[in-house]
Amino acid sequence: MNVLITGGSKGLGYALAETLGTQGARIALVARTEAPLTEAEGRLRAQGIDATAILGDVAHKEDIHRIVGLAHAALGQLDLVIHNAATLGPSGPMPLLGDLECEAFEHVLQTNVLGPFRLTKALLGKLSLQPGARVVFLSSDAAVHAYPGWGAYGVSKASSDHLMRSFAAENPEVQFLAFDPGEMDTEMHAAALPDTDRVSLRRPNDVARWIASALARPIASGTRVEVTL
Amino acid sequence: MSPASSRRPPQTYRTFDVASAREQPLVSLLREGDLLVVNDSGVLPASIHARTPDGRTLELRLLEAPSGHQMRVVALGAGDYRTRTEDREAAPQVAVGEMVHIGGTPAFIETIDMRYRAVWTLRSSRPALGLVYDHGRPIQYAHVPSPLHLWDVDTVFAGEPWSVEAPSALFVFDHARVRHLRARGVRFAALTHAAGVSATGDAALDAALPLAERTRIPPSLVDAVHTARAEGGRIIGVGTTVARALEGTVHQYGKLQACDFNNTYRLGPSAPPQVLDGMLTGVHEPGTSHFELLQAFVPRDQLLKARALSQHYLSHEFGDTWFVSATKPRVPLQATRP
Repeated sequence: MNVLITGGSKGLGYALAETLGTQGARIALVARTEAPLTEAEGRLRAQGIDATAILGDVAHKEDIHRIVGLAHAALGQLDLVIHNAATLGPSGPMPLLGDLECEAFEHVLQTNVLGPFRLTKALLGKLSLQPGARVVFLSSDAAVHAYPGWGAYGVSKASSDHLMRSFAAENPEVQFLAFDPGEMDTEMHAAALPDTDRVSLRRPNDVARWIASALARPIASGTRVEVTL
Repeated sequence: MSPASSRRPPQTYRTFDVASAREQPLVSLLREGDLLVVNDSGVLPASIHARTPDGRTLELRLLEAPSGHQMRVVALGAGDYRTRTEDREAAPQVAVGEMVHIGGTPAFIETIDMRYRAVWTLRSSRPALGLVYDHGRPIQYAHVPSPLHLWDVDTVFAGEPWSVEAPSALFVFDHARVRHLRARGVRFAALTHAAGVSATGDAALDAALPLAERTRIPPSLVDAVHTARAEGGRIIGVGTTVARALEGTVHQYGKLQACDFNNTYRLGPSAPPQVLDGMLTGVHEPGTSHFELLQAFVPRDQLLKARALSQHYLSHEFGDTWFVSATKPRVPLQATRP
């Protein structure tokens, strides 16, 4: 299986790369910062995983073909695409919507909604010719419930859920899913809620293993799945 | 900042049915059980701006997908897409071992072709494909007014970036048309074929086109063709790259089989298609190799009549479409090699 993972150098993206790679998948990792990306690629390769790093920012329309082209050149065809890259927007503290800069909201939507849209659009026809091809979106509790300060992120994740459902409604040949991983011990969580007791948070590796085993079972396309650990 | 779309919306493409000698909607030309064979290669940003150490500018056009740190190019002199390729200045005279700069990256001229002096092999200090994505853009056409971005030239089925120009017969498809056709029971299957350059500015080299192009036939395509045949469906190729890939495979191996090879086959009227029952293809002029090829499907007088009736159709990469389906009895699929 050949897997493209965005936001693959850290957190859940990296954990998914390691989990799926250990199970034999070939991985193309996308991230926008070179040093952690190269380090992640090195750590995966040291474990014998066939991993290729691709520098790119899904928020930039101009980067999409570079990502798609380099991923296809490295892996041949893609069987699974995981839209994991996301941004929280301004943090420390996360501003209320009334205080949020318009441009900051735009950037959240560019990264969390338009990025996955463009990447899926560029891959869609090819995926539709491959039986069993899948596209996975990462969701959040904030997509369902509204919390002060989480407005931009929550709106982006609710949009991403509906993007997933809409692609599923239009493309029966491809399976589209979203996973809500719950609260995880990641850099993003630390930026959002720095005072949380980390012991209470899920570990990305455990979530990645749960998602990998869920992907091995039949699930109807268009489903939003809550990770239960 | 965002590139504007320079491409016509697919619903404005006209389709002319050569057999009935009239314009018909694409969806009505295909029926349940038909198999559309498409070329799923992606398009490379194959036009790369470069300069020599003494400041002369040139355009490098990839001749094939880069491999590792190496790329094979044809060099054109100063000028851009507003000048027709044939009218461009010749590339600067260079020697093996000299360097050109692509962005800030040096690339050394490793070989110069003996017959075509503008054909070079370059070795770059960075992996060549990433360099190409950072500094290249699609090959441009003098007849298209605004610069083309990859978003404009990629096709709906684009996968591995092998092609230096788009397999443009696919422009007639958008996702809505694909969905409509699938709902009618028309099936799609893909092969991958590296569509090469259409013009280089070098008359001798242009006369030698098309060069060898890589073809890959996956087992899924072979299965899809056999299934469609067994169920009475027609095998319709989308574009001449598909015809070259399929017929070149049969020529090479004696039958349609899964393979990955350097395809030197030339389509022409002398070798009737072994696999295809028809084609969706651009509008071609009598005398061109593409036009001659179509005689394998329908008699020449019918093609000339179609040409006369579709005079107002657009040719070129963003042009209209002909549907050509066989009226002659089909040659068996498992034909052995002569």
